[in-house]
Amino acid sequence: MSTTAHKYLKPEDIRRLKNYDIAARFMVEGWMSGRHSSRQRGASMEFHEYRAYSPGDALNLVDWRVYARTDRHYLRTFEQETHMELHLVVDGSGSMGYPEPPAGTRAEDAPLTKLEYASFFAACLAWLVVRQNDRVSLQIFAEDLRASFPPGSTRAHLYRLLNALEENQPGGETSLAHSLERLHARLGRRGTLVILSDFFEDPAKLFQALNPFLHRGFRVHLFHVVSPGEWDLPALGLARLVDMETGERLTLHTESLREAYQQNVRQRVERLRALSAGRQVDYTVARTDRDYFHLIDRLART
Amino acid sequence: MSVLWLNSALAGLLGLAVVPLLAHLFARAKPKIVRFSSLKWLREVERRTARLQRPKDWLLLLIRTLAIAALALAFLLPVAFHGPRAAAAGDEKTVVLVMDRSASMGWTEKGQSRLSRAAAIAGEILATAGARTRANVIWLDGQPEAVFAAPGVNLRALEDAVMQAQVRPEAGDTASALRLAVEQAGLGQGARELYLISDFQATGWDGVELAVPPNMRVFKLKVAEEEAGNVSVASVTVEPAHPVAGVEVRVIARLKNDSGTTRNATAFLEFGEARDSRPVEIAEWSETTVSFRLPGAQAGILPVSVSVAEDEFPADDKRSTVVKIREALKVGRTPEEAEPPALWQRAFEAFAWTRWTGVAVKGETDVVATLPVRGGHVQDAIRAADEGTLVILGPDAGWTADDLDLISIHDAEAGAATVRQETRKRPGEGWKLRLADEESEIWRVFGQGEFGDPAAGGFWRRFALPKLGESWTVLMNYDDDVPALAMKKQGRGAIILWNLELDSEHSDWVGMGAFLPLLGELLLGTASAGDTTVREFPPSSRLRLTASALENAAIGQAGVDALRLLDDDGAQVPVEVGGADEGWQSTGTLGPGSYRWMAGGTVVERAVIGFPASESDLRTLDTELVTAGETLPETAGYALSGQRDGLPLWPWLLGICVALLMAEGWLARQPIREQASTEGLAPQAKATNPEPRRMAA
Repeated sequence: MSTTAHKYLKPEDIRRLKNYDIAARFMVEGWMSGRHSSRQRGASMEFHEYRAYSPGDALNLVDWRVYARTDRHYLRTFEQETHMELHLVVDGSGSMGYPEPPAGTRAEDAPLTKLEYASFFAACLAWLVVRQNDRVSLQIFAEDLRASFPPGSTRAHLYRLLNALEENQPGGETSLAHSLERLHARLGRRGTLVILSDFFEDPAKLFQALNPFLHRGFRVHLFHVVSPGEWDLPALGLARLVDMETGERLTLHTESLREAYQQNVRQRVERLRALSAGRQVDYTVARTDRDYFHLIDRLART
Repeated sequence: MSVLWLNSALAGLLGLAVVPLLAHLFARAKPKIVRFSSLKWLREVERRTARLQRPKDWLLLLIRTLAIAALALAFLLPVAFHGPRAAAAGDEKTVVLVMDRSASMGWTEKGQSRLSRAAAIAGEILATAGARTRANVIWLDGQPEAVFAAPGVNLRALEDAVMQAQVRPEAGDTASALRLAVEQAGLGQGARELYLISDFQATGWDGVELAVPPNMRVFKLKVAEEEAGNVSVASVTVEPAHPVAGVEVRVIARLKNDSGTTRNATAFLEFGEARDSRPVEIAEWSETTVSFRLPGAQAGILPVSVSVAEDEFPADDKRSTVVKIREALKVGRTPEEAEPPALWQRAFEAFAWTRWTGVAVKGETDVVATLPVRGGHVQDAIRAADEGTLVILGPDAGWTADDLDLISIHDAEAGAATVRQETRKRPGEGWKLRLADEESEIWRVFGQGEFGDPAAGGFWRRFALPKLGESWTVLMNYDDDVPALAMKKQGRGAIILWNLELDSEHSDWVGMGAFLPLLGELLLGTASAGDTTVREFPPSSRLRLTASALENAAIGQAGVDALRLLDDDGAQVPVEVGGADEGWQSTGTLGPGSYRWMAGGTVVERAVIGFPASESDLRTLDTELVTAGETLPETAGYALSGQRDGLPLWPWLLGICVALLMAEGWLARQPIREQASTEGLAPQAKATNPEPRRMAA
């Protein structure tokens, strides 16, 4: 693939991505033939094995030459070749716009918002999947699914996704559980679900919404996008904090609550981690002050 | 304490104290607005910590208000005065210092004697008194005196005198010192200030009234801090008082514990070459008696001292006296009288320590025993007693009223008194004796019955005597209250009135066995025997040697020219001619110890000065009980500058402000600990552990 000029897919990132090869285990088979062999038997050019005929088997699979030699019915089975299907679910709620750059800050000097960080990461994943002729879809949600792109593996499809990421602006409240319920109805086949969110969501509701995906054999990866300011609570002194999703206001002295807040954040992360481990869901904290390639490294090792 | 605001024009700064409150209110009203991703988790935390957050906020507000107020007060330059202001350093004034240098000022506290601390304070007062100050120092000791005749301007000389002051082993005459100090202060000009620098020992200051003119300020500076405990030797006595060679001697020492705890001590005796010791336990605030028994010593003059182990106040740990042990008591009769009864003579010869010499010789005979003394010769007997002889006299019917008056025998009711002899016929009942003063030491030896009953026996002849004067101590009476045996001090000697018949025809008393022991006790207990060689002087005395003592010593002019006064250690003490009879005296008061007047190699007279017992009790008085003046803390410089120029409070206020700000910073940084909550944080426990609810049910 040639280099692009998309905001979330920088040429230097593409150069780095060329060295990656997403491991098969990260993804779950799709339905179309591709470069990944599947344990499911089906129609392909690769012979798998002979097996004795059973009533009901398709007659076109019977190897008549073997029958002629042995007078027995054997079926020729072939390995079914599939391709991966990756579903990117990106949180586009208002809280993902954190941190807002201070007034007067140049765009290149401003720290990445959580949404930008998630978009960079999603773009890289999409590029990797398309490069391997696999299929990738993109779902952007807030209080509901805001944008939905079905799986595709073409370059044009990739560009559409990249454009969608670029055009996406943070806004609205988070309702991941509701969005997942909606998404479940749309996804026909199983695949890999990558959710990029700040998870201001009741963990119980979240996993309740994930259960149908897990039952269908989806592989789920949760990337908890966290800004350092959220992780530690900045020392602002007495400040009036405005909720970026709801516009609620809260006046407090951040120093006095800082330790308790940090403790609360860590406990919530631990809870998410524990719930994920119990359901064999991969959970990763993605701090926006760290290079998102470490997340790709992590996936590559999976 | 009063406070003066030097910069009161800036009082408006106090309004700054409301700044924290306003800042608190306005800051809450218009805090900076920060957009945050989600308040969901913050609200949870805030809800859980709100109960602790609010008190912390109020506390912070209080601390900030106080800090600003302290800072604002510091700008007003407050100056504190402990009581009313003293004259400032630049004012014209007269300062009189009463500086205690009595014995108790020798007590050492924290490695420094009370006198040293007093000297430091006095030096500080004088050094900071100012150029227009006249001053004087009054020594508070046995004989208070002023350094200058009137308050002077040479403060440097006073400082030197104060720094060189020594503790005097004397009790202080507080009333005289204060009187002198008030007089001296009255001689000065300008403001008058009287400083009392003392340990305010209770025995010296209790009940002292200080009359101060209204224009005079009095400051009390107490230099005693600790409750001082002290063990002292209060007295040393020897029994018999005038022992004779070969007779057992008892040295009795009184040990006193002037402290609130029971003390264990060891009393050490030095008696000539003999040494002995006794462990004793002395209860708090009490005294005990230690007795040492010593076998009969050889004749001579022996120093006796009793000491206890040294404590923080060693001045009273040792007490000395001198005892003269005579070879024997020489007993004689006055030349004018006839020989006493043979029994009387045999009795004196029965003792190993008495010798009958016949006619008494002035200056040599210790006891004059004359039975009876005829009328008109009583005067001679009294003169002998005045000179120190023990006179045993028997009454005579020829005594005139003048004779009776001379020896204080009179009958106030009957007017002119007479003496008459009475008899009763035997075998009829005679007069019986009874003890009049059972507590007398004379009867101690008869307590066990070993030496008979001195009141046993009867008398069929006696002299009927009128009532004895108050100077007499009646030892035995007849059963009709006629005195039988009495004694009195007379001059340097004593008189024993012996109205006891010895003739066996008229009395069986001698045969009862108590006669000889009684006579022995009387001789040993009362015979001062004209001892002119040892004299006791009260504390803080000048030692005097009379001209007559020099005459008696018969040492000649060469001896007089070489007359010296030596102390315990043989060091010479300065003397001068003086005294009432142009004798000799020490140039100043002397401390406790034994001294001896030497003329060439001859000891003319020995003298002992005891430590003032009142100084051993080191308890001090609350200065507020002294009727006048204000009490200053001992840190004189601090206190005096505080009195004169005031104590600037701004550094303290600044320090308080800094401390408050540091406390505020620390408190503000303290995180609010989240209260225990399981809300949304322990799903497994909630889901899988229903145990607590079941248990509660």
